[in-house]
Amino acid sequence: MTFFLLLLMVFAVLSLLTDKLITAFVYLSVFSLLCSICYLLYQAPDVAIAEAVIGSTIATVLYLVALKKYKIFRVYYTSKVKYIKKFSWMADERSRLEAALQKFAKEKELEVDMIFTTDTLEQIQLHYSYDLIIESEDETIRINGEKSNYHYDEIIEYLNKNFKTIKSVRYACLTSSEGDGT
Amino acid sequence: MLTILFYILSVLTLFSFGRIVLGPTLWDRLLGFNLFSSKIILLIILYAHIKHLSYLLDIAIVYTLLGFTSITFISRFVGRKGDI
Repeated sequence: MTFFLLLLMVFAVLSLLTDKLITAFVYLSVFSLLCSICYLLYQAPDVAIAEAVIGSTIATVLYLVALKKYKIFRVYYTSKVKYIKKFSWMADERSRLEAALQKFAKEKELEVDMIFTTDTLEQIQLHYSYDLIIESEDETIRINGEKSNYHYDEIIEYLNKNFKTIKSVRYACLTSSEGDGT
Repeated sequence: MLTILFYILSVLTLFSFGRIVLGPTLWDRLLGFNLFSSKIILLIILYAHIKHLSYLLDIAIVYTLLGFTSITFISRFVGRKGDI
């Protein structure tokens, strides 16, 4: 009995201390398995069945779906110009910015989803879910993001360090329209 | 006799536990988890037999039917590089 309780404690601490999320999920599944056998030894088999069904099956799948959603970093790139010439400064800047974003994503284990549109900033804010909106006009590149976004500060710091252009770059902070999370 | 077997199995879970904690890659951890869950099922069946509580076998059935899903989903997630 005490043996299982000790193991329970060890796994609870381990799942908190790991730096990789997916490893923490494995630890949590083991934790719920141990939890269920502890319920069983305390003469509560119905609770043990509920723990077995919920803890080790549904919870893991939910965590995995959440991790998948967390990993995608959605960047919208809008410009008023419909067609960008191949060797203009705009195409050059764009590819450099994209490379910087990809490098940032590689460091943070994220996946960049670049979407090019001709929609305006307001339209994107209203209709799509985004992490970052990049506006490029003739002279400036504006990088818009929400302060409540969990990568916003990191990406601004990273771009300040690693992305320098001839044209001016401006950073803007959008307020969230739903009014939550700030 | 069966009680001794119960204790031996409890100690044997420690080895798969070690594989989960030490395992350098995620696959080792998953393998350890699989071994661990099968040993836990054996323990439940033994306990039900020792205490003459046949309704505890239901939990063992639920485990064998559902326990593999979390392992399958995690390995699918890793194998497809973040796509379920």
